[in-house]
Amino acid sequence: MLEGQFLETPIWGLPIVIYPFLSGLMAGAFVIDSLSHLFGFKKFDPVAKLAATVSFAMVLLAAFAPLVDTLQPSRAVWELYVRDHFPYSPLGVFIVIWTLYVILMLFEMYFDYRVDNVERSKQGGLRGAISKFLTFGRPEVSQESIKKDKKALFIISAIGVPLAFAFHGYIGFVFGAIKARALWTSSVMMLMFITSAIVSGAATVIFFYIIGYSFYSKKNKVNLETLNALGIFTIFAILLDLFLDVVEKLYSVRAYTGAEEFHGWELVYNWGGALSVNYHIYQILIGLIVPLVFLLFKKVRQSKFLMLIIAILINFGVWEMRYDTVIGGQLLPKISQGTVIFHAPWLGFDGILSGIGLFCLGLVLFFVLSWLFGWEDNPKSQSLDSNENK
Amino acid sequence: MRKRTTNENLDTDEKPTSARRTLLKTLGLGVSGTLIFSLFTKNAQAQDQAPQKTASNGHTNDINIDSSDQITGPLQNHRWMGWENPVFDANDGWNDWKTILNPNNLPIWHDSFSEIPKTHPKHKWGMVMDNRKCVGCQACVVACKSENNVPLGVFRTIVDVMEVGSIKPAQNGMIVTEEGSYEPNVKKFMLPRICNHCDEPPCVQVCPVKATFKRQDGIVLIDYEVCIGCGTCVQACPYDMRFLNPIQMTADKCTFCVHRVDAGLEPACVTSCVGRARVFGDLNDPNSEVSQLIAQFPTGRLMISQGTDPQVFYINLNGNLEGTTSIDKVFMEFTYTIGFNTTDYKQLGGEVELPTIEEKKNPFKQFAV
Ligand code: SF4
Ligand code: SF4
Repeated sequence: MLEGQFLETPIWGLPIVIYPFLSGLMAGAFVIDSLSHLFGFKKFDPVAKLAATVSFAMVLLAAFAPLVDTLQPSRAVWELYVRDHFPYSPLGVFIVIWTLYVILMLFEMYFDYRVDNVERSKQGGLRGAISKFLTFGRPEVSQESIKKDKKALFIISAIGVPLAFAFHGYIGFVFGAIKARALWTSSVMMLMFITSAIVSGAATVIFFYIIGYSFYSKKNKVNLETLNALGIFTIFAILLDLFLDVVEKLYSVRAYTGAEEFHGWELVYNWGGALSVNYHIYQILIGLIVPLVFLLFKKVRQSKFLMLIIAILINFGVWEMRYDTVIGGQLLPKISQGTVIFHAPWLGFDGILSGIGLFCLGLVLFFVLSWLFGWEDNPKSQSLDSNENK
Repeated sequence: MRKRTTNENLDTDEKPTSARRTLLKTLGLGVSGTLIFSLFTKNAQAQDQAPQKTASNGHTNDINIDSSDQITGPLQNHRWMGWENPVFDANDGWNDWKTILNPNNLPIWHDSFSEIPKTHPKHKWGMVMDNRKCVGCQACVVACKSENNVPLGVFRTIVDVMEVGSIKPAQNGMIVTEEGSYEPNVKKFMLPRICNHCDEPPCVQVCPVKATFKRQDGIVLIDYEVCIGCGTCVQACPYDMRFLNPIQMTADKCTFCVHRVDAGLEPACVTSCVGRARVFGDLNDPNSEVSQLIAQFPTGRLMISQGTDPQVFYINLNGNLEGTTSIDKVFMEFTYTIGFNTTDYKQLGGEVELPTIEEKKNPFKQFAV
């Protein structure tokens, strides 16, 4: 093919890859959280607070990535809020769902940590003062008030799960709605985004669960039963993801699809194409199949070290999926020939460094929230949970 | 900071229902009555501030500049790295949205574009590209760049050069290479491309802040003071005719030279075309040159399968160019599009790498049947 000619260029770079990745973590973590609150999965109780914290940190960060990619970020915040943008604009819907989600997460965090905050406010000092403020003047810890909290959490989760799906589903819609890009205009896009969000959310929760309880917690140990349950949950999520990958792969069959999609697959994803290694090796093999095979063994699911590695592999694979979708879709030119060449620059608003910065910001946010709320050392509720488990 | 005045017009004039239209008409009668009255009563200085211009295409342009908006001294945009910047000099009125939008106070649309014909617009601007006459001289590209001050590395109009047909292996063919001889049956095509000012523009539909809109007379424009530069519209244009302007940091594209059209002139590319391959005019007027050409010759449009209903018509468009320019059917020799946010653009200051075709082991592979 005519490589060496630069005909068109990718408009959306690394920040837009990071954006669905991070908001995927958010949606996935929220699903894990709500499995505990909504469906009473007792085994997920120890990770519920962690999942809520991850979800909260990521939803705060998710707003930054697309803003980084706009050329007028200062204007964007204002204009996105004050101008109506229904019914078509996918990016416009972002600001509505994002705001709703942040409000929902504030309530979720409040009810999730209220009892802990009451405990901690007795400690005094800066942390005690902050905790006292965060209880918002409800220092009761009676069984009745805890029951009320649980009820509130149930309602929040019931609203939150569809909202989390909407948040991530519409990111699939952002791409699917752009009909000019042959490789994006696919109706499984939305489902694929949601499924891989759940996969990556579960992996991230596993990752922080092991790290947090092994190194930072003074009182709690990693519960192997919980780890096992998380592993089994991940298996089903991966199976669904693989099925959707097979459906998408049908776009590379000449009889199944139109000429543009077929040529696009040939040029970009199929073996010999621009992203063939990324797609086949990184995304499918390392990201999905290898973790799946390992997770099938119970011994692996209960090994902290192996689970840590599997969590990293899965997240790498999901990152690759986002990369292949966002960048790969733009490598197929709209009206020119050959493939577009993508160079990610180091510097600049859409450079590699700003991408790394975004990730670091995510970690910083997560650790600040962890310090504030201390999910790894929640004495009361943890002991309650383990009592109930027995 | 210039005052935002267009916005109110944009929102109130959208989708005029019949009730609203009556209201607008009443208001308009009232306003014009007051204007005529004021013409007799106000002094000469006031008339200076609201001059009446009669454009050569017959309609009257009312340009109102209130005194608080008078800008004194040269306006310099520092991002132009020291160059003079005529486009951003509001004293010229080039990029002043009030001048562009207010002459006829045209309603604008962000969706339900099918409503536009029902409002009986006075004009519907369109263009005919006569491919029989284009010689690929690129004069239009240069004229557009200088008229609209389009920055280095981005283009509002381009002319692609393509080859259509096939080169088949044949005994005693005209082209002899190490691998054998070939018989060519090819034709060269110039494909002038601009924004098609689609009747169903996906670029307008996807804009999250409604910065881009379709005017009642068919011209698709961007409000540069609202655009956040998110690039969604650039992605959504199937013709790749939008770009992110590296100087003003917003989306940008061909405007049909709206400032010239509103003043009764033709777009710059049309006036500069040596072969008269570009013809601009009113598609509503059956006697205009564009309507006559479309009536007399078979015309094609680009990528109609996308459902965008483009308003740029091509005479003698090779069928292979109508769809996407698939490599199986056409061979693109040159294209002049290149984005600014690439490393290639950053190199433009020093070296300019012109598109090259790599030497292939089998040079005519793409033509093989
Ligand atoms: S050609 Fe592209 S930019 Fe122009 S109106 Fe159509 S979709 Fe929009
Ligand atoms: S780049 Fe500007 S005009 Fe285009 S979609 Fe974004 S805000 Fe709208």
